[in-house]
Amino acid sequence: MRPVAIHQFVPVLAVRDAVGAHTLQVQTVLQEMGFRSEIFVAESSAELADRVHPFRSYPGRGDETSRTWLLYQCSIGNLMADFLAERQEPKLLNYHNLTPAHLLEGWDPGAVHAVTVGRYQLLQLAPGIKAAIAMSRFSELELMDAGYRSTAVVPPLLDIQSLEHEADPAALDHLRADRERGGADLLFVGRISPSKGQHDLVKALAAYRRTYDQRARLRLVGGTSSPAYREALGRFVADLGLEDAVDFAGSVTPRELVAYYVTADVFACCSDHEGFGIPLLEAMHYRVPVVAYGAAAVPETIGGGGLVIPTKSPSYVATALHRIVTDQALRQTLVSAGQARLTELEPARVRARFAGAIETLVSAG
Amino acid sequence: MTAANDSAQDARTTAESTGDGAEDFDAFRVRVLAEIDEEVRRRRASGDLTPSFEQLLHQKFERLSPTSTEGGYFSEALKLADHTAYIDAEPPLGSNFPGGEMTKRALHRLLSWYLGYLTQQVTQFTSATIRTLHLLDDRVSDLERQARSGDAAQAGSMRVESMADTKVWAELVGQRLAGLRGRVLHAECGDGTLLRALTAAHVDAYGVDPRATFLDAAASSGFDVRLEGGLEHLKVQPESSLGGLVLSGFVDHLALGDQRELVTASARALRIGGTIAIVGTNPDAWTRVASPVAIDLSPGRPLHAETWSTLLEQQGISSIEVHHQSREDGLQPVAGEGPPWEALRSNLARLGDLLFTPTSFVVVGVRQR
Repeated sequence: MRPVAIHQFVPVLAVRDAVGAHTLQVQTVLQEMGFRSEIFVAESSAELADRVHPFRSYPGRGDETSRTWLLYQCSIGNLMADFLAERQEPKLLNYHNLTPAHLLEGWDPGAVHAVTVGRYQLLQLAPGIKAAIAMSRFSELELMDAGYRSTAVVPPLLDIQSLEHEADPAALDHLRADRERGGADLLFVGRISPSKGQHDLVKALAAYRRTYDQRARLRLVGGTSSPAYREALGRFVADLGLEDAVDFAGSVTPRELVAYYVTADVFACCSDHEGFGIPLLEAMHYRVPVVAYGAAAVPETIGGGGLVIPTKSPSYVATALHRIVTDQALRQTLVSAGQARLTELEPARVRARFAGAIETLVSAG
Repeated sequence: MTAANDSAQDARTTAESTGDGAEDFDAFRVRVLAEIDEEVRRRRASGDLTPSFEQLLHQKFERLSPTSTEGGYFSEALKLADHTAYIDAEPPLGSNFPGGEMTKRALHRLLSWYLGYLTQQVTQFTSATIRTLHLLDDRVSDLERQARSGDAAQAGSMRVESMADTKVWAELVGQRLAGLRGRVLHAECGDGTLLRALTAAHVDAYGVDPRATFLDAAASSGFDVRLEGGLEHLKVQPESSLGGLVLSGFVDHLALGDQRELVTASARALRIGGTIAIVGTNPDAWTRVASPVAIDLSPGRPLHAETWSTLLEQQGISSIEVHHQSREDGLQPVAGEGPPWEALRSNLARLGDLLFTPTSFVVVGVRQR
């Protein structure tokens, strides 16, 4: 029986967050397909309070078990998964991937616990899930390993064209003033977390400055999810005498983020784990050439839109950065390749793919 | 955009090869990566980016990592745990907001009996856990002392110094590895002597070695080398990823468990039809030369060629050849007829075996399954 409603369950819904942005887009797609679709959360940011319901308030009136399907946005361990496991409605799972615990061990005990619980819940949910949609082939393989029988791959629904265009003037002035003093600007955007490999970028910067450009800077944009790692990074930077060369920008506003992108010479990523990697696409959008270590889903996210390198060796990364910074033709080729990649991930196409995947699943019953 | 350096090298652009648009992006990417690889080798050869510099960077960060297993950082990690074991139930009460401090004080007074009760238990738990860790540290340290392998200096002084000179085997190994499909790894490659021979035989070879000073020399010759232990490198190689493999030096001083693991990891990393060569020290020659103390206390010891052959066969390696280093020196032969002369010649032969045992051998095999 075709469902009349597909409600989403997401542990945390925040405005400036990849999972949150995806969930809101999915709601639009589901509603355009004619389904009633509400979002149920454990937590949400204040701006979205009127668009969500506490998950414990489900079911509401009109939610017949047989005509309502539930879609779980899975990215972290949460009590919500246990709640859903008990529900009798047909269930779908949208898998954003879970960071492997070993990448966080020692640094972030809370996160280790959360991802370990998440993996356990992923296994526990498998028998009761009709079908799962992964963000990448990398994630789909994990789902298959966890016992999910019916799977598909659809990239996250990201409306890249709706990204902020105006740069924050104050941030832009500040960053441009630095550029006028000379030296390349290397950029990475992502949470400060050991799994994101910011320490490898600092090593690469040290090698880069030693060999190619003594005035180069590394800008690390993103909030801190692991204070112990952030502290160690700070000490590492100080040990290497790079205090003036590494900018821990922290969490920034969308307009400030634009300023960082448009003043960067290259976007560099040494992450050990990405379930997809939205900032890689943002960099392409802002016409910043991308170079990234080929871990987890990074190669398929880049998909020919940047330079995927096989090692994080500081010498290698530094040399790749130098090549991109100084070879104008290569820069142009990478920027063009990035634009082509964004065309492949053009929102209308991805939304159609997602809608197609949902239609196939509900038609199959 | 930044023009960081305007040397001739930097002036290179991709324009000449991408201008006609004929080259697809994948081929272009492969070519750019190869050029970057070449540039890294060139920089290493020039001493700009040495393996020892990379090692320094790794060590500096490793020292700050709570998961570090190198050196004596366990005690530092334990100290950090000691410092954080006490849970403070007295939060700062200052506030920038009007009335904030008063509110905090009121809340603190209301909740202090409850929070104090909880934090006392948490502190008891963390203290007990830290105490357990200290006891565990003591016991592990005792075990390490007993095994004479935990103390790096002790183990280092007693370590077997390999007597197998790869130069002696360069021609034979080069012949056996020439024409193989896929890359050939030399672990541990030292200053790159064998890599030079392999490269001369048109083998696509690279090396690993954990000794940065040796590796600097290899890198300065332009070889593709990585700062890593042989066993560690092999353990993370994808299955069937190597066309050929040469193991030398470190094979002689690994503990027996590691020697077995090395063979397993090597066979796994080798593609079907790939060739492995183990250059080892003859244990008889080693016991002849090494001090009795080193022989008794060494954490690892060389294996006989026959033992390597058996371990390789157990992992599906066949067509095994064993070559012993030829004896160039020895006792002078004596001429004479009759039983006394025969006895003398027999005794001289036995003495020669004892005194002039070949120092090294190579075991070569092919992965068949």
